[in-house]
Amino acid sequence: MSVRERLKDLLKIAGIDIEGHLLNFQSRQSGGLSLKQRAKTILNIVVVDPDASKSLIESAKPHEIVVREDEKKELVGLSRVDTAGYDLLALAAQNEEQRLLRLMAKVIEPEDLQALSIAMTIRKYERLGKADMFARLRRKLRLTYGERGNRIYVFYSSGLLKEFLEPLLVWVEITPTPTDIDRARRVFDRCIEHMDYAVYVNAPMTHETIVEQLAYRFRVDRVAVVLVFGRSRAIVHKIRKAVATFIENEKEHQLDQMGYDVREESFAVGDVEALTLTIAVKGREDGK
Amino acid sequence: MPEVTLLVFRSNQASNIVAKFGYAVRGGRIIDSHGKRARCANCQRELTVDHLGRVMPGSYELLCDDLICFNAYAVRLVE
Repeated sequence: MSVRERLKDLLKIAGIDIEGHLLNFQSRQSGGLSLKQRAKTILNIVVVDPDASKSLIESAKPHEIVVREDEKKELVGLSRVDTAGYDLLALAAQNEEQRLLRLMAKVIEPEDLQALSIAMTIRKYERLGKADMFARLRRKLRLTYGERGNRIYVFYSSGLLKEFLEPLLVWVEITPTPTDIDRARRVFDRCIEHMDYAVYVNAPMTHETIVEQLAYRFRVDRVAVVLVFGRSRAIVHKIRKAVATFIENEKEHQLDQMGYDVREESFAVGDVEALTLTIAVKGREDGK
Repeated sequence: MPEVTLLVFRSNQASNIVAKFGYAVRGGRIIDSHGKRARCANCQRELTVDHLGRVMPGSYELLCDDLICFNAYAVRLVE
């Protein structure tokens, strides 16, 4: 008898039928046994009395409690009462974003993927309004994965990662050639590298707004490098035109400046056209 | 992603749990079958029963109680 069947029986004795009926998430700090079931995208958590948990842990053989990965598609693990809530939320966040994660796993380094998984969990806490956990995890992410981890959070939580990168990732799914993977990786790296002062251009953004935002970043924020990025043919055209206007305006306003270097990388994958463009103060392409 | 069931344990059950998986406990430290101190499979911190956070599927991987160590395990479930 598997642990899952044993649990079902235990809950039946307690008068709870877990077969697709329980929809509510419940966490309990005092202990007990949590059972997570997945039915499409619904995650069900059932908590039973701590004594039932204790007797199960003490009576079952190790291989019945923790199932090795190669043995089953259904995995069973143990988590301490104060970490279980986080673990279940992390799994739920991953479950919601599993397509994105699966695609990103082909493109980015394992460390970046872990940071992205943490970013997804933080976003979940944010949506639940758990401000203390949100702040604690943001600090932890920055401490462990550095500024890059923090930027991965910003890129993901702003929705830009999905909106901008997903069409490129779809091609990685369809044709996972080294060229497609490398292209997606370069776009991701460039976005992360310049995330702090990037300008994302979407359909409602006007020519004037792009020019204003560029001027603000260089004059007020006083940064050395700004990334501008966007997707679709019309937007790519709009970005090129706005950057040309900005450079022209700067020539008129700041005659003593050395000017700007513009580095453009465009991608055309199927019917998806995307552009990343970095504008750097001349001689300061390294951003310092 | 495969289905994952988590059994929840209390910190005072940690010693019993690791013993079931063939580890010894000396002075609160978790010792593996080769006599070496067990480490968190993610952050490599030496484990004590007080800091045992999870036992995960895989080669009975032990993880510490640092919350984000779980994500390193969880991303490996992505197929």
